[in-house]
Amino acid sequence: MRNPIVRLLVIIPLTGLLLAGALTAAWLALGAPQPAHAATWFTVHRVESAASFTEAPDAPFYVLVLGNDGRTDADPGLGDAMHVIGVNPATGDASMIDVPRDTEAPSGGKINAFHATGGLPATVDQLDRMMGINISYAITTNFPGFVAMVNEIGGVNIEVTEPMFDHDSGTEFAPGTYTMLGDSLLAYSRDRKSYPAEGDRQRTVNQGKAIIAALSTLRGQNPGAAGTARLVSILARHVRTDNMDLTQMYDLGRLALSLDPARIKNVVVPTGASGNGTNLALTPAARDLFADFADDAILQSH
Amino acid sequence: MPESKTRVSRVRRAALLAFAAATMVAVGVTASPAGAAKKPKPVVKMSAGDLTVYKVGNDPQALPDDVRDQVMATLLGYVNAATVKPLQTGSADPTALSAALAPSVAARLTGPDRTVLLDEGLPKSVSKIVVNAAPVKLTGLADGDGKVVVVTANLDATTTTKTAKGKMSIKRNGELVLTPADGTWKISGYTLFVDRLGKGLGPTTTATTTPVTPGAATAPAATPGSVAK
Repeated sequence: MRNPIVRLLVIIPLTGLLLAGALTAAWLALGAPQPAHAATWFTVHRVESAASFTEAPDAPFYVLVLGNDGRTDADPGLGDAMHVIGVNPATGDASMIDVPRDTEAPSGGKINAFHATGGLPATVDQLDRMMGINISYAITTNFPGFVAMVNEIGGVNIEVTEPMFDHDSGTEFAPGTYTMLGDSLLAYSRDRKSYPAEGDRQRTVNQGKAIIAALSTLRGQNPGAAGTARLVSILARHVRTDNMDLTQMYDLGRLALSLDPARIKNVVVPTGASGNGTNLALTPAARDLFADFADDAILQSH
Repeated sequence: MPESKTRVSRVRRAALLAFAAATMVAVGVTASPAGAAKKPKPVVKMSAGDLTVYKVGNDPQALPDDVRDQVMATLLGYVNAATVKPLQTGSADPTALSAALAPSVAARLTGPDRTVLLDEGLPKSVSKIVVNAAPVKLTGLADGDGKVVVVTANLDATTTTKTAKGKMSIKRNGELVLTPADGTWKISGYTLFVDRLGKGLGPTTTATTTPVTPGAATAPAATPGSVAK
């Protein structure tokens, strides 16, 4: 086959045949091609011992929402934004306790460090012990996931009540109402330097406000049971789950979207100096707060 | 002569009475079994409307026919058990209900939602029961393997019939959530609104539900006298 044209006529079909054979072999070995899994925005962890909705549809339960400062999926990051949401299905009410990242953990050290070393299970364990509750679900997202999620829903409406201008976090907000896309909302949620007196506490409050505002946006965009199906189908392409299937995720989503954001109480854990470095110690008022929270997942007297 | 006139009129009167009695017996004999046999048969008009499927992976391209058919069969079973049967007999059909409702929803029948889910305690129907439902919009959610794991159904049904006191209508609308269980589809969640209108109904004839858990709801206090006539 010295003639190059003849050689090409042989080589091209032969290459195609080999390629087809390789693809067939891969199909047989690996199974049918799966849709490419999109970038992971967040992780949902269901505590194995947690009762399912069908087992206890009226039982109050708790959800940890944790923002970590990981820049990649491989980096678990510190748990720098921690919010425990109590839901009482029987009344349709919810309350949220915001935990400053420097709060001293029951096992000692700052509570935000537990995510970096033990992930969601370790953080859940510390918060359970701190508050006297049993958290059933934990959700975490990192910086890129947070930004992508917020951009996907077209931004979140936030009311800024004080000037926020901080180079480190990237805030440039005069008081007013903003529809914030991912980068802006991330900056808003990270800014503590615009609050000289309250610092991290006010930042923690703002993070809680961002969560409630996001819930409000999602409710508006995805009304009813069918709307929940739409939302879950989008989120499920970007989620990593532990101990949860799609039906349970739908159930959780439907419940979340049935809550009225205007009725969600948002309270920061009362803390004071601990004398142990920059750690924040729980005050007696924190014990009262947790007792109020632990009985039925709702804050009545706070 | 006067005596014979009296006799004739007595005979005539007796003959008339005998004829009337025979007529009444004849009518009674023929009418009674026919009336029992012609108990009006209920009519339930319900069909699938727009079909949508949201999916995590690439499939399915549409809501599968078998899922649509099974879901519609469950909805039909629910309407018959929860509305038609109570209007006929005064109480719901527990066997048919347990086939249509997931345990979490069936558990709600012991609470205030019972009045929203079932049409019990109303005056019995004395005429044909007609249920007219708008085409039921079905929305499915499929997992990464293409399996439909949740279906939502928009229900908008109006039931009309007559009771001894007059016309009665029941309008029930909202969303139902169905999930597969034991090889069939069952109602595992709901948001329902019910309006009942008619003479002889009690003062609490309107109720709504708000889903606070998947598969569960709490009915707020009914609106006294809001639609009773």
